[in-house]
Amino acid sequence: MKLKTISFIVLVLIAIVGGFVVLRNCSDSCADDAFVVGTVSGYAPFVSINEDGEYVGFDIDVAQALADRLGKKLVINDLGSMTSLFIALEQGKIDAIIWGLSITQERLNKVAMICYQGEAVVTYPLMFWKRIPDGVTSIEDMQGRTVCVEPASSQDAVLSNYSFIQKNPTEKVDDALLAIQYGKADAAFVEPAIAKKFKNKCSDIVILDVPLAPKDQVQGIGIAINRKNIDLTERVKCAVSALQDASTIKMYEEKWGIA
Amino acid sequence: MNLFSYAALLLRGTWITLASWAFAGILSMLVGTLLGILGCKHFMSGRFAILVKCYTFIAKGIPAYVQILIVYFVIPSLLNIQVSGFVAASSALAFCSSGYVAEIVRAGMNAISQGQWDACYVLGYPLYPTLTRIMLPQAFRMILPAVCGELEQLLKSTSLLATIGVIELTRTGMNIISRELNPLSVYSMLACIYLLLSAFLQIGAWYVERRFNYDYR
Repeated sequence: MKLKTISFIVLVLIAIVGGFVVLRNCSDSCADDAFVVGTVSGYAPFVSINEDGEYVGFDIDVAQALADRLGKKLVINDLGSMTSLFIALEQGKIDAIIWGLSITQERLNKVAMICYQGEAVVTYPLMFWKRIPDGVTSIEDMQGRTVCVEPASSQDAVLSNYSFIQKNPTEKVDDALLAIQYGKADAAFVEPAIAKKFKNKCSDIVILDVPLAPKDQVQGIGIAINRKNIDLTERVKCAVSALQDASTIKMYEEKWGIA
Repeated sequence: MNLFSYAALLLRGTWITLASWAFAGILSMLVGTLLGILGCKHFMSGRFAILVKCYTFIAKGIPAYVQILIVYFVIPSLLNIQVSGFVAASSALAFCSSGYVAEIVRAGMNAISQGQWDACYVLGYPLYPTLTRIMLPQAFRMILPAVCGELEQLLKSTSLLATIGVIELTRTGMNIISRELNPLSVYSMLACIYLLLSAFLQIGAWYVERRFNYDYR
């Protein structure tokens, strides 16, 4: 009897906690006055979690400023990976993706993208540990070597042009750093802002700039919005312009060291 | 890097890991035990047998990661509901684990001799007390190590919550790494915390085994 009572109490508790979590999540992200932003933490300086467990970073500041401009409450939805972000955007779980996403032609074909940071990127950094291997002066010299790259990223798309390079898919740039540090890969192909941050923090990193073909060149970093959401796209465009005019974004760039 | 400044964050991550483990573990044990009973040879001819077989086949056959993605993205979309990452991922882990628990319980139930079922029948014991007072305690004693192993496996599987953005222990570590750029010490620390949690689980298992006289039957 005692066991039955305990089991019943446990079941009721699970139902209450589960229901509470479901409802709370729903009330946060379903509200009309919410601006639900999809992102992935662990991508400092763009998005990370501070010592107090709060989301911080350049993208979080931009998202908050945008939500304020739109007159909505910001809801951050951490989705863990780029694949999850695009699924959630397609399903309407989130209004926008703000996660240091490069604006590429491939992405522009799928979603609306509004540039909010950076200028056209014509080179991507190839990161090495301690030294660039002998005889490597360009990406063409990387034949047979292994390069870490985040799956579905713009760097991944560029690397696909070089079939002679062996790709090592790493979801996190930190894992890529670990891979090159311990000789699991020869190099890592990452975002310029991330490479800059790594280089500033770790003197052992050496960078080789890889020129991009015109079709791979990136037009800055953008906010991704579902193409069907025309109204929101227009409003976000206006809000981004206003933030740029007020030098708010520039201020955040300086704050997070990505200027 | 001062990892002590992240102690509160790591504690929170540990708490979420443990909450997910408890949620998934309790659900998995309840569902797995029920299905294990229904799937044992005594009830094999029952109409639930095929359903139980299908359930365990699906639960064990699909990788936990894929199950998490299905529960988080596909099912809410089909049912037009919102489910938090924590509930979705924990439920998916519970589903996956319950398939294994069902098989473990079935093995335990099958190990009990038919004579005991017959004796209960002859003595006029109703089914419910037969199960809860005679069969399950014996089966449970036999399957204890396997169940504890499954629970330990479940604890480590909670790191999959990170894939849909739940800030559990592993994801907390990833966040610290992205800020401090010191993967070696952070991953080592994560390993130590997981080891510590596993150690507590082992101690609990050892205590239960002693209580049920597992090694002294």
